Amino acid sequence: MPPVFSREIERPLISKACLTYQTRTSPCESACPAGNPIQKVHGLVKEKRYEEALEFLRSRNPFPGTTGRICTRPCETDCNRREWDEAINIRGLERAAADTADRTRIKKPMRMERSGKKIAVIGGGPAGLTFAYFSSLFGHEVTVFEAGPTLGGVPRLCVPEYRLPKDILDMEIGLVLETGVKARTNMRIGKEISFEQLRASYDSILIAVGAWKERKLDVPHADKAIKGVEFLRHVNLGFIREIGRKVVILGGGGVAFDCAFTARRLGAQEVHVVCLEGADCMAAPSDDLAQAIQEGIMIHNGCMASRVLEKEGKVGGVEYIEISGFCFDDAGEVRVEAAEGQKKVLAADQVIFASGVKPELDFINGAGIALNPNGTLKIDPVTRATSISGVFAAGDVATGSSIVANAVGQGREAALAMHRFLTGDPKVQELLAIGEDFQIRVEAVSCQGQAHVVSFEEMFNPEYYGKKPRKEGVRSAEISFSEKCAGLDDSAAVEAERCFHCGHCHKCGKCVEDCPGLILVMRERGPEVRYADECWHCGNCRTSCPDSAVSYVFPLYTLV
Amino acid sequence: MNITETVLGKIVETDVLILGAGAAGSGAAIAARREGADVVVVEKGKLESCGSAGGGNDHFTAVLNAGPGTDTCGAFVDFFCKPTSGWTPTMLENGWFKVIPVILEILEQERVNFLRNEDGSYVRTAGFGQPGAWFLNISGGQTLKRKIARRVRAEGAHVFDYVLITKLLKTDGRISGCLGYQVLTGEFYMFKAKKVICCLGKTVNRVSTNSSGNPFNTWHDPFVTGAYFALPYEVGAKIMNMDIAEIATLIPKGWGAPGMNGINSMGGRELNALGERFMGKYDPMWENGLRRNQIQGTYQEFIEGKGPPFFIDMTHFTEEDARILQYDLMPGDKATYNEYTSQKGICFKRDLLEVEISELSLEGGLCVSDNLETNIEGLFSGCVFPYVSGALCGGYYAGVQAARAAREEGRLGDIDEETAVREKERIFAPLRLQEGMNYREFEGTIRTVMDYYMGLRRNQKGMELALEKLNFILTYASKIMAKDYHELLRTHEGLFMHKACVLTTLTCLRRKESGRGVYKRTDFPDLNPEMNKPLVIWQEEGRFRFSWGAQ
Repeated sequence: MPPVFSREIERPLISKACLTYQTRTSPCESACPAGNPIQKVHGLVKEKRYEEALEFLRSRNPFPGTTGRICTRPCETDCNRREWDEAINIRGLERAAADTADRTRIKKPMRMERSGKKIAVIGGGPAGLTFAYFSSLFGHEVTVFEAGPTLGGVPRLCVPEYRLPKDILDMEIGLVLETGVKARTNMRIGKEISFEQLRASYDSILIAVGAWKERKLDVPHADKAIKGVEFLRHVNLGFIREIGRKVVILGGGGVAFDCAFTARRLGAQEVHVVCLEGADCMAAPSDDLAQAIQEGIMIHNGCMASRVLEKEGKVGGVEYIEISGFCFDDAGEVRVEAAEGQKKVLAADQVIFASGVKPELDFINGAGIALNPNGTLKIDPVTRATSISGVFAAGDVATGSSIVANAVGQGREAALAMHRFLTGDPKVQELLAIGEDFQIRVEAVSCQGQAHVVSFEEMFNPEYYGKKPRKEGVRSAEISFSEKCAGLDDSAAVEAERCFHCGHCHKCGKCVEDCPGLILVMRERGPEVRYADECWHCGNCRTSCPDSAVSYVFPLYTLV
Repeated sequence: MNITETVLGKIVETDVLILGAGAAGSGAAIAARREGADVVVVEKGKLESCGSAGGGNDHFTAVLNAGPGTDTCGAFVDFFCKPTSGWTPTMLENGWFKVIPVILEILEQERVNFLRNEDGSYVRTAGFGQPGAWFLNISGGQTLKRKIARRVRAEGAHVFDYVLITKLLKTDGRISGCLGYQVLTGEFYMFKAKKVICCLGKTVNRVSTNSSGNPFNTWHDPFVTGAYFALPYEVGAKIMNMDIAEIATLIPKGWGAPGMNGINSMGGRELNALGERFMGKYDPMWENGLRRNQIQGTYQEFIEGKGPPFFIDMTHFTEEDARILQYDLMPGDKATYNEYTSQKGICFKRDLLEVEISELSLEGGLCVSDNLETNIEGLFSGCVFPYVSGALCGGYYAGVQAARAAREEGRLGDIDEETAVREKERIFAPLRLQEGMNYREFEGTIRTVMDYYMGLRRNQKGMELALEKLNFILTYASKIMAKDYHELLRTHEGLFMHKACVLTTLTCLRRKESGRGVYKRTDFPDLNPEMNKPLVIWQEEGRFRFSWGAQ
């Protein structure tokens, strides 16, 4: 009879799907677009088994050092522990695994037998590289075509150095290339080689070009201003080394704040952010808002630029107005509601537009690939295929502008989808797992449907974990390009202990102790039902469980 | 507490020894500790989860002197103090009514969440044919037992989890302790105490089966197996009402769960196969009347061919009532209710709930005086009153009385070593057999007899045959083989169950009337006014004795 225990994974699984033995899970894992096995990592970090933690992370995400620094942490927003004291520092623990593990001891999965299939990847950002990493492990021959001079996409070109030291990214890209991925930089499709040529030469293609086409507001003298992503890219590539004293950023998202902080680091004394959003609904991460206060960035909420002011042929400032509201249409274009009130002016030496991006897809003109209204590529949610055979898409080009973790998850799922496509293996219910011998093999442990996401109300025993303050890495107050936030280091194991392990049994044995019929036994893989027909289905295994990892499946004879 | 290790086993000495850590044992432990006694609680399961309250509880009986004329001690005593109940007004007033506020305070302190009205007063509902709205509703009742357990441990009681008591000990006519063993490790225990409170649970459900065929799929806790009767009987304690206290309930078809009190008291209507609401024929208060009338009524409809199926209709409930009942009160009574209804596709507001008559639960009680002491000096009973409220309050009162008696004239007796050696030998004998009968066959055969002869219709000949066959089954007791400690535990449970069945049958044979219990005798279909009193049984010099009247 009942109960059914939702268990933690024992070996790294590349696919993220509902497992037959893990039918409940946490809000954090459910929310992680990269598919990080968060709770498994916490369990290992708690025991200071950093190398294994990193192996589990890398089975889903080849960029944990990167996402462990720059992710916007949708996991922590949903963390059940938030209802008890404070969310777990999930990103900090990801980074701790990536930074602390002795990489010389990391066991790397072996490539599967060569399939003889050739894949071209257009775009060398996190989606393309993640895809390339897994596709190469699956035995395919992968070539990445990157239009720019460097691999790495947004993390390389748009994320400021103080948030992500580029040697971390270099090392993670190196581990992708090490699997046999070929990369050809400065290869713009449609220029050096045509899309049709590529299709003719490869068995399958992944489009992962990201979204780089920047919007510029339709206001007078907009051409005098510079574009945010371009600005960040030029700073990262070393083309821009200084900026004026006063800088105005137009936009309120993560890019806008990266521009603002970068401007401060280039010497700007006065930086303003003018954005449509009200103070209570900012799109930027809360970390950015806190840092903005620290660094003296002035935010003008609920405002819109009405013109760029010209002074002696250069930028002189911005004229802006207050707005009453705004929304986005299907094409992703902003629609501002009737603006009222006085026009205001900010004098500035430089104005930066950070008003959103969309994909640049001129190179596929004529190929007949279907697009969404907002200009992204239309893909099938299950097969990840575009409207033309053998062409897949992942990352911002398919989802619109998103976070790196999303690109990673998309890249991995696309690799799995394309693997199924190329090998003709129709068994979607099967998973790819990394065995003890580090061979990748198929395991039939996934099930249909979604794992139940455990809510705080379902946690009967949060007091088991006690109240403990969240550990944070030390944040430097210095305004410079050296890394701002330090890792958790020694406090990582303590922080990992705070994890509630929502929906995943962590083998505490409380259920076995508390079963009034003594029908459970503790085994290496956790509690097991030994005398199933002596279960009273009283629910004590669940009310004793600190993880809410117990559910019940009633026998047929009780249902008739 | 004093523990001595001996070659034979551990000797544990204390002031007040409490057998069983269910609601009654927990109440007793808290009270005895508060009276300053050293307290040892012995439980074959675990304090946090054992007993019927371990499965949850959504209602707490509380008469508070706070409302209308029915919310008074007088109304309470009038309702419970019947010629057959065996309880005196003093007993009910001191042992239950006056303890209610004490227990409520404890439960509130442990953050048991009672449903409240907007003005802060308790939400109170009526049921069981009671004249007043005496039930407080508990939200999240699935953790009730854990909260009580937290208090028991905090009060400093020494709790011996996983220890099964197999024998009570008497010295010079007084209770002096008991023997038992740790069910996971096989360690032998000898307990010596000034006073002993028996709180082993007075419902025995595993001796019959509902339509699911699984004897563990019960309404009350299937791990309460009759030691409450078997152990005191062996030392000469008097037991009453095993003939008329036997009871059944309605359960969701195929699934052993409580909850009918909540369903009935919120206005659930029982329907037969013809869609007729019939309970008015059997009780003036319809479904909200006496539970035995609901069972007899349902069974009568069954005999007349008007069912199965039987249903409870709750579709007329307001959305809010249906929601609270299904998703808060029911899972509070049985923590897995939501999974069950969702897997079976039941929505109270939308669907009729198919129900069946549950397995029969043997019941009864030890005869006690007003201080809840049995006829055996020093042996108290905590399981005197019904429901979780009666168990907690009665247990508490027994705890107070036992602790005071221990303080005033308590002394420790000696353990007769020969008795202990013999008992240890007997306990572990099934482990030493190389071949034999499995406990499942033994206890399954008891159920076969009870289901067949001791159902809702009985007669003299059938009951005599039942007794004969139960005695025959006992000749196999020495052939039960246990492969491990789990099987050994179940073996001893089977022996307790057997004894409870024998005592029930012996008692029922002597009540030659119908109408006071849940079953009917076809050979004596009417009430006999002369039998309007409890039937008391005991053992004297190894022989079965009985008498009419509790005192």
